[in-house]
Amino acid sequence: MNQSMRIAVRNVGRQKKRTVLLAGAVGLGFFIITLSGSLLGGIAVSARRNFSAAFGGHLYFSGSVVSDRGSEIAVMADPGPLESVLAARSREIASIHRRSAAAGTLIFGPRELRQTLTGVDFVREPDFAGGLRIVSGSLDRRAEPGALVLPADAADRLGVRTGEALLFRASTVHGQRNVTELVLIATYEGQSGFGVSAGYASLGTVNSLLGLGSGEFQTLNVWLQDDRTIDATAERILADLAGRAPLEPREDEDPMRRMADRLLGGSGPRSVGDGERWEGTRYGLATLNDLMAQFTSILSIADALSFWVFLILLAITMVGILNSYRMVVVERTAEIGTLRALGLQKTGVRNVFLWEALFVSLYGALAGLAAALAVLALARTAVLPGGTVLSFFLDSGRIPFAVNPLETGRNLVLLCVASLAAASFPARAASRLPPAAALRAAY
Amino acid sequence: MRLRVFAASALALLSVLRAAPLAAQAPGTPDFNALLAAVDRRTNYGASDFSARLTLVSEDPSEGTETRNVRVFRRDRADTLLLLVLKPESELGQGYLRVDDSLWFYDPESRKFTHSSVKENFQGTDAKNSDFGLSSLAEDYAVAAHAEGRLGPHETWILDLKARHDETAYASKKVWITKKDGLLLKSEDYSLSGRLLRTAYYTSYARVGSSLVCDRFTYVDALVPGKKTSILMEEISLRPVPDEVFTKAYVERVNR
Repeated sequence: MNQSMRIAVRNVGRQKKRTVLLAGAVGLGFFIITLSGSLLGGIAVSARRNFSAAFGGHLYFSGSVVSDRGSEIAVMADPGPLESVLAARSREIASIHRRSAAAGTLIFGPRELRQTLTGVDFVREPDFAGGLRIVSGSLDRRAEPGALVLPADAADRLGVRTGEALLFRASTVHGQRNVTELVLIATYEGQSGFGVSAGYASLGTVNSLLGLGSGEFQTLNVWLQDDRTIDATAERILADLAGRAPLEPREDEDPMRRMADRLLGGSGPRSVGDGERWEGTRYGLATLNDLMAQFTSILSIADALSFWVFLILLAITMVGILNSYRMVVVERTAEIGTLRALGLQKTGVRNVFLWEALFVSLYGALAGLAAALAVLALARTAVLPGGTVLSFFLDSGRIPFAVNPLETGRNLVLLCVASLAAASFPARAASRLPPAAALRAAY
Repeated sequence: MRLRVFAASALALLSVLRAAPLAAQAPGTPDFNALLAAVDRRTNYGASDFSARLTLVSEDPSEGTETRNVRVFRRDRADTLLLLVLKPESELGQGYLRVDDSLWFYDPESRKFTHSSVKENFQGTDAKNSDFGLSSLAEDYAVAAHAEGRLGPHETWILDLKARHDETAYASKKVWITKKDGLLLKSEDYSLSGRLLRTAYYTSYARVGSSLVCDRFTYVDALVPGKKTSILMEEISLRPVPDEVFTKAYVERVNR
């Protein structure tokens, strides 16, 4: 085996031009699959992080009660059962945040703008400030009543600057009209292209607008220790809650849309039919995975497409390897005869070709990997301008990438197997050459 | 026998307690709840159907002036309502249908009905969907204070109204009602925080059969300076409207 490997290593260096061309073809395929896979992986990670930051968690529990007049009111009137279940699973949970939200209209002079306002318990969310890229102003006074933080593009459209007062008109949880005066203290880089550019105010300010008490809230947002366990943890928590409190079914429709409709109440509180009513607080759950379902499926399609491109390139490379080694066998017929005459067995001859093909593929793959990493590292140095739809996929303005070792390993194995399969036909033909006839061959 | 005497005394005491607020009113002042109920009766058409053509002129300082024509059909005894947009062309065929305690918005482009609310503004104007439907002032609001005053040439009662429950569109209102014939002339609508949101002026009433119908009214936005919507009601009719008009199928059909 060692003898065949040594001969193969020497042979790889003999025909440098051919080796470079073959390894280059292999490397190009590996470069493309590594680049696209890493980019898509990075985008997925960044978007997940940005979405969870925008929505404030991985799991979003909402509560609703039925009013005396039969309307569904979005408030977690009794968080007790849910909080006790979450407390029992505290090891899986990084933090829990209380929030409320109102959809309404910002009014500044004659200008109006539809806007969602999220109420944040800033005292319990000390790390909130770190999640926003501030464009103007400061978040220092964010906990003060009436302090408002807006996406920069929303502030621009209204023509309002930090320090100026504006009105926010919205409906209470019961659908009653309400209005409050807010002071813009800061603007941040939003992602309005994705419709998730919320304004932020203190929980008390939003609650007062919604007609809720200062200690009340609408959602409990849960950050998990490991965001890969979102679905499993959600299932376990719902199983724990079942029997303790009414639960909203998750299967019938998009849970994220249903929660947004109820919380942001564009069409007012829903009328609950007599047969549908429940006692106490009914809990609903939407997860980051629900929110990102469409986006994830688009990424999966893109990932599958790039893998198919890799497979096509691999097939082309296999044809190249097959033809090249068929020529090599013809060129080295006399040499094969000599080696056989010197005692090299049939399997030894076959292994020389197989090792050679494997080395060429490995060199190509390593070159492709190195080139992909170099391009990604170069791209990473560029900081793209914020405030666009793209910024939601970026990692603090930089192009994200995440090289997945498992995927890279899988691609490498596929490549080696394909190269060996392609080279196996000429290798077997070479091993079957009769030594005497091979020695006589002259090309 | 003793039990019967006790029950009779308790009922008498209860009726005295219930009547107390009315008895506390100054002599010469009317029963304001009855006055509100009369305003509701005048605005509602219990026995007959109602239809009219509305012209809404919205003035917005940032978006300019827009004119809409809307056909309204009402059947108050069933609390049903249909608003069909006739103009502008871009909104032609859009409709609001209130049936079975739900308000549906129909979009002819997507050909879909979506849930809406009577508390929402109508087509971005200053009018609410509920402004075109059944009036329930007496049911939704209690009179918290009253005063007398003049509004133009009219002697009016000025009533401060507080919502009886928290699912009314406005937490409080102030209304001006003529002393002479109990017509609603002006209304101020306040938010839960007590801020004036909108002022409505009912400037003209037309006699239709034995009823007086307000045919010209204006809603002035108190938050956005210069924003207001004037509504003119024409072709008012109390003739019966076919049952099929108050159905989703009809709204879809008129769009074909």
